[in-house]
Amino acid sequence: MRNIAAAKITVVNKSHVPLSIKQEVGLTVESVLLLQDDYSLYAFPLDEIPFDHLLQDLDSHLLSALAFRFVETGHTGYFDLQNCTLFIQGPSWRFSRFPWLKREPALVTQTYAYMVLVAGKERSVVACDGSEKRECLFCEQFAGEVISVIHRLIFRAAITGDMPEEPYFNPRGAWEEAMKDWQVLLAHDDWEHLFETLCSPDYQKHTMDSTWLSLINESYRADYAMLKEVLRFLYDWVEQVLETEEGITAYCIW
Amino acid sequence: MRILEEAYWWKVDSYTEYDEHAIAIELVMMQVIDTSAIALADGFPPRREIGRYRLYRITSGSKQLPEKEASTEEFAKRCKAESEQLGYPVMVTWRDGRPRSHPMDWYSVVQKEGNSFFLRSWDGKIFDTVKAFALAFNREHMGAWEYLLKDNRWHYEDEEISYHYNYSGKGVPDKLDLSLQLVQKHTSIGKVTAGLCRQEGQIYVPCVMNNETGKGFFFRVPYETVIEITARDIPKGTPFTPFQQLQAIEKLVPKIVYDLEGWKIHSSEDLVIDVDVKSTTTGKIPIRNRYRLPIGYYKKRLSTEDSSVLIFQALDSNTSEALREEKMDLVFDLERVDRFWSESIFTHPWINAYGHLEFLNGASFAPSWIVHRGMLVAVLKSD
Repeated sequence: MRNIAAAKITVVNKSHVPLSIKQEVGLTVESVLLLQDDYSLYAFPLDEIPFDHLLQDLDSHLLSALAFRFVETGHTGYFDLQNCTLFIQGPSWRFSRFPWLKREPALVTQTYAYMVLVAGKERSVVACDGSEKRECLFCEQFAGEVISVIHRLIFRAAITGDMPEEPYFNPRGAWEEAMKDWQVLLAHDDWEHLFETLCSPDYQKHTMDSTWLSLINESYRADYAMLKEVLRFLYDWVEQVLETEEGITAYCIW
Repeated sequence: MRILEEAYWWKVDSYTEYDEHAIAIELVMMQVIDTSAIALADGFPPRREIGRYRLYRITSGSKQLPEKEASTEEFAKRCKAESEQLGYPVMVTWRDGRPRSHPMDWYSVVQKEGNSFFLRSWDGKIFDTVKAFALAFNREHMGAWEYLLKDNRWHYEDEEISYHYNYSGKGVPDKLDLSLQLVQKHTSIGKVTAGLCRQEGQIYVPCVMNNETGKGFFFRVPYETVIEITARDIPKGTPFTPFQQLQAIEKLVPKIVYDLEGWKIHSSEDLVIDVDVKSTTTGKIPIRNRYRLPIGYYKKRLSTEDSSVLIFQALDSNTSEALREEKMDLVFDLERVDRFWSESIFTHPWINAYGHLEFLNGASFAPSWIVHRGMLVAVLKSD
């Protein structure tokens, strides 16, 4: 807890006014763990985080967050040191169990999310206050080459509103078409063979920005094996949503 | 008739009404001395006079001053003489009954070979562009349009295509398509001469035209910086005043144009290709050279560059113009080479309709780029 106190009074510069925010959570801290990444925020419960992901040295430059075990069972805490934000993870907290994408509605904010997919056709943004019932999937912007490619693929498949946080409903047909494309990507093992399949037969048609050639030229730096892994997760999520819903709403947070 | 409203940068000094449809206004152009000073009694900040104009404002129906369509050389001469006598410009605005959303055109007098006529003030600023257009058009070569298209903001219209410099919609021709079309147009239009063509009364417009076929293009500047170019069939007998002898305009029309003649892969592993280029200078025998293009080297060298950062550097007014140009060139180089390359892509290039070396990944290299960026490795036998 010494670190929380320290984080709260950290002075960025002389003109910064120290601010103390009090948040009553009604839980008793049992232990504090030092984290170097944010997997325990959205991907895996604290108990499933491998030991070698935890830091032992309080002064480590890798320290990015603190995790709390509480005496009360079923609750953990995550304190983001960079953004000074505390999250209490109760029994309903939705872990994605996947290191690249997020599912927890409380994280659908500008800090943690960019393009958001929401199951169903209700054109409203995801509620971050714990009341959200719909399934959602997202990741922040600039989260690496692989996520950039995923964002490009979704932009090809779906329409988002023109304004920030303007939800747009994309019906089942749009996603089914996209999934056919995704199957082609998943059926290959490298960019070169994908290029041969998608671009070579009629490359003259691929000079516009919206073509596969353009996507490959922008995306080729991404690790293809990793891309397939993330795309498979996305594919399965969309497929599962379409079993019960007529489509998926998409929007971006700028 | 309402006259121009007084504003703090313009002042109506005096005016003379000729009849209900014509007025001459003595306009004074003002410059604000100090915007923070207390306003004068007229409600505006203190100003000083920096220029004067006499403006004839004529609407249709005047019995004393001619309408635009009936503007006479006598009236043009009168305006010219008044301008010389007063020592400041005399301008004319005509207004017909048609509603219009844009400001009225201001005409000034041009005197050429003893003939006086009116020309829209903004059109008078594009004589060099019109001359360069004629030079490039008569060259019948894609390479002749390279700089002219790059540096100008054109809206082009003919019976087949429409091109807007800033339009990137699907299916709309880009600069290359336009230059290709213009090269093809030469076959139906023939050699053109740049000059001024009478449109109505003593009103002239910049144009390029073939005197025999009467085909050509009109040029107009509807608003600042944009040039509208429209293909026209100009009726026989229409008065045409050619510009004086056309001189090469360095910045707009290149002295040398290039043609790609062939290519040979030098190293597929390092993405190095040798390209044979024919260089033609007007009136001289073409020469042929072989240039080595190390695409892999450029790709590696530019891999650490970020196009957003380069664009910012290219727009940084605190740096020299040379450095800004260098950064902008790097932006375009990055766009060309930062693509997905494989052996099969690299080893199957072709020379496209525009005369550029193109690869399956969409990378396209203009002959002039190859000459400037490549390394001369052999001088080939000329014709």
